[in-house]
Amino acid sequence: MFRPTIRERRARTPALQRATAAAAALCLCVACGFEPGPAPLEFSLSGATQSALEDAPAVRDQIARELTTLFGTPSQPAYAPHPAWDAAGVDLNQPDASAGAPYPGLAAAAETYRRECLHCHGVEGGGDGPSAFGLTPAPRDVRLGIFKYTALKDQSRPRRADILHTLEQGIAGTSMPNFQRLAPAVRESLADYVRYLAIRGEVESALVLTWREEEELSPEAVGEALTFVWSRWAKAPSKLVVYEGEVPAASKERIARGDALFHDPLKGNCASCHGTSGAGDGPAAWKIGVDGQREPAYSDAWGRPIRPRDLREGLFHGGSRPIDIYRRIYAGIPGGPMPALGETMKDGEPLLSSEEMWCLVHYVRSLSLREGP
Amino acid sequence: MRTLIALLFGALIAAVLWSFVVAPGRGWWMPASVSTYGGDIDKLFNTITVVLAVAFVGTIGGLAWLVWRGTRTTTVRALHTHGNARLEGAWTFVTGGLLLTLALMQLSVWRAIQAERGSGGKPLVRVLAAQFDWRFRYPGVDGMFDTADDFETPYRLVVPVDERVVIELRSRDVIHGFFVPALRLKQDVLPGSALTAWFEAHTPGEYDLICTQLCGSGHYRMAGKVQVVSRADFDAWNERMQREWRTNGQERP
Ligand code: HEC
Ligand code: HEC
Ligand SMILES: [Cu+2]
Repeated sequence: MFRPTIRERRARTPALQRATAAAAALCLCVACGFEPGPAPLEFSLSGATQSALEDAPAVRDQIARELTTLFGTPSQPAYAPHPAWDAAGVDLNQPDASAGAPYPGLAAAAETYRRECLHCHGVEGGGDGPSAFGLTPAPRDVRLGIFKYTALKDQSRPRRADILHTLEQGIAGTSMPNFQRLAPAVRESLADYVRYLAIRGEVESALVLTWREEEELSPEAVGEALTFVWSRWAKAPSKLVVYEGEVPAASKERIARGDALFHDPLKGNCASCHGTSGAGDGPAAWKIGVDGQREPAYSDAWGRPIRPRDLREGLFHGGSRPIDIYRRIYAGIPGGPMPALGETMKDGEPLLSSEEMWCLVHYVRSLSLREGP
Repeated sequence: MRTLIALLFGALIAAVLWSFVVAPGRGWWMPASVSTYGGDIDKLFNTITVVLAVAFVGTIGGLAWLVWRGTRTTTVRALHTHGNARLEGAWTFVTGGLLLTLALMQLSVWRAIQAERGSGGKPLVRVLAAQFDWRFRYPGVDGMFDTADDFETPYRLVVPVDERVVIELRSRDVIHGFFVPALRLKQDVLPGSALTAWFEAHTPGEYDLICTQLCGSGHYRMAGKVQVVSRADFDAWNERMQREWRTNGQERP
């Protein structure tokens, strides 16, 4: 066996010393905070836009330019002045009156978004960040403008308060965390940034649509797209679902009545999707696929298969307060098959009275509670 | 080579001084304890740390000295030995005795904190850990969990001061660690079981809660707060949360 003598070993030390010196230099770099900064972000067109305009690269470039003019870049996000905003009487660059001081502004919000949200939600809010891979449910593309968990009816665009509520509470049962560790004013600016991304995305698809119809993009058409998109956001405050009066208590009678309504095909008909036990295995929500396997019958606005919630788990994504579930029943869940029953009429009569909806609320909640049926 | 050894050992001494003298002086160790049993934990912690620090510096120092001495002789071959039973026996018994002493020393503290954790009455709150959030479920007016008046709130655990608070810990997915440094309380949260732990905070304030089990990609941000308030404030808060839970949607979204 080869055994180096001490002399031979000493001859090798320069290599060791060089390695040590290199390691020390590396430590020094790290300690002094020298690191290459992140490259500036850029907005890209959505996959839908790119495939819609596959053979019109000039239009693609034009739309990208238009969007940059109207909305800036991730490092300088701002709504550019435009007659359409003036006509609507809004200045979205000005924070809402409710904004807590000191309000960081959209550019600072973009920086926070980059740090806290981008890895799931993606640069443009497309739900395609690197950590989104493999999440169930995955973050959604906000560029469609559809938000599921709001206090509003008619599939309305959210108010700032709705997005804030999501940031404050997180979405239980999903990987969307709460952000109470950020200051309230920072959360408000983030809500505004989410709205900014959504409006930007909606304008993008409106421009594609306009070009498809008119084969050109005139300045007027751009203004119309802005006006149209904003008109849906402007309506939000009038869409709030509240209940006049005290929330009825969860009595045994109400739960029993809710049970009946839940299973009654002519009333709630909830069991058709959610199943008799609330497990989400109702016949209407499932089909047999080509491969003979059971698969969800519905898909959502994002083109993904969607399954009814298992109500026995008590993990309500939109919140588990009675009013939250009341709102889900009243207004449905936008983007999916869950119906809005609050204002549904049948033979000139409301399908469900509000008392009946409260019975459903208490029944649904009881499925995950101890006094459940 | 000898300079290198001197340098490395010098760096070690500096690191030891830094972490045991400078860092605690700057408040980079544990925050001040606000828990009734925090003092006992600290005493144990400090004793064990000192014992380990002495053993560590002694061992590494001995090693460095041997290498130092060995590199001075350039012509003599190293001694080849098959061991020394007496020496090995000695260090086995000395370390064994040391560990046994430590084990006996911590028995009473262990008893008070761990063995009695179930005997403190009903849990005040249920801690629900999930990737990567802490949520807290309070039993509402009737004091019973899993009833219609329970309410849930993320991030902030609110508890009364100067009272023995029992908590119940549950996980929805993987193992998490419930650690409140200021309370000197650290308890793993296991999926599938409801463990209890207790503490009594003697100073109102807001303290950090962190997860100490590497539970997934978002582990680094699985943080929360423990807020210790007076009994009156706690009751008022509890009352307000219950009212808010039954809101008809008019005051808040
Ligand atoms: C770990 C990944 C993750 C991070 C980080 C994250 N989100 Fe989400 N977010 C999600 C997922 C997943 C959903 C979809 C949840 C669902 O299906 O209900 C979501 C949904 C949302 C929604 C939609 C709610 C609705 O009503 O449809 C908003 C708004 C939102 N996130 C904002 C943010 C903001 C702002 C940040 C950063 C401060 C952020 N998210 C950080 C994963 C994440
Ligand atoms: C057409 C099928 C369908 C019917 C009918 C239906 N639901 Fe749903 N429901 C769904 C789907 C799908 C979801 C999950 C939506 C999602 O994840 O976006 C859902 C989710 C829910 C949720 C969870 C909300 C949350 O915050 O997580 C509740 C509660 C609920 N439904 C109650 C009801 C009640 C009560 C009825 C009867 C009045 C009903 N559903 C009827 C399909 C349906
Ligand atoms: Cu964790």
